[in-house]
Amino acid sequence: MSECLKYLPMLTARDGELSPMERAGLEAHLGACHACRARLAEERLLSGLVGEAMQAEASRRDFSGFSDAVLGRIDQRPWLVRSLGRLWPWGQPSPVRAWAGIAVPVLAAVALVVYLGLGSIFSERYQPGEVEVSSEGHDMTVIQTDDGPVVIWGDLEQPEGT
Amino acid sequence: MEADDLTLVSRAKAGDRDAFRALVVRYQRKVYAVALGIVRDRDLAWDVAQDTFVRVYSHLSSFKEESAFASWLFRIATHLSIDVVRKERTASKDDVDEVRESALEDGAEGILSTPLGNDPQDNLLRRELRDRISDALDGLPEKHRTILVLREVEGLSYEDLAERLAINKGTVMSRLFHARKKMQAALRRYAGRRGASNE
Repeated sequence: MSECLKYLPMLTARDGELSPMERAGLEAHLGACHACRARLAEERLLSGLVGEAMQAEASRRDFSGFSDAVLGRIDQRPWLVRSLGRLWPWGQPSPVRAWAGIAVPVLAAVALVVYLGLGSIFSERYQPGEVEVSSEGHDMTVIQTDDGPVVIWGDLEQPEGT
Repeated sequence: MEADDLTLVSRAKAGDRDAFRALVVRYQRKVYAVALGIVRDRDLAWDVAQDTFVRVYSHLSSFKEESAFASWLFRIATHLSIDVVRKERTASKDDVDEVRESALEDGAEGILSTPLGNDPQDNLLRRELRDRISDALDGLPEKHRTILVLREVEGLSYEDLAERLAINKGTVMSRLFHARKKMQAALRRYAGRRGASNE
């Protein structure tokens, strides 16, 4: 019985689909097992029927307008859909490459947003505040900064010695 | 002489719509047959088949001529069909693929073949059976239906099935076995009725 369990799924294998060892084991088992030979006969009876049934159903359908409808749908797609459609993964020969094709522009966009976002943070954080300069005579100048007034002793406009 | 697929693909890539139309006409029935086998609804299968060709056209520029156009086309059709089924499907549990002792209980002595005869060339019998296949397919879980259709309609090998469905060869054999068992069980009910009526 355990031998049958092992070989049952191999009954419908086509030429070249089993390893030489699997094929030899199956042949040997079929030679000794009447039940599996009966199952094989049944499998052969049904072989190809699903394909025939689906092809027969397809043949009953009228395909006269099919290609026109397909080309019509191709022409009707909006530009955005056409562009996004190129990113659809199963249309690519390799899904990995397809997903990479999606990931790269998305990551680039995220990076740009982050960069611009941080740039604005940087700009707010590190941009020098407005500086107001007032001279209180030749001996002292007061510069108003975000951190408070800074007093510079001396004349900024006419440094000594000029 | 008809142009081969890759010639038509090259021409379609260059903007030749007639070349693309020729590809559509060449494969439309088989793509529809695969879609119908998986989605089990004529209108949905029709939409899937059209959608497949629209997607193919959209991605034609990325298709590499060293691979087979038909494989690429049917891979798209398969995935679109499975997507449709999964969207449509209500939560239902598929059976496991493990081969159990119970698998041996039904049909151990070729119960189906006995009342129907053993001649695979019996056209009348095959025609009758073919008509019942469609109903039987309806009762299969999506994964069993899909693998059976890909095997029988598209003719994929174990290796191709493993690659297409992202499963290993052992699972391919097991899943196909269970799909066939269920198909046979459904047909056996018909065969039993037919056998009884013939007696």
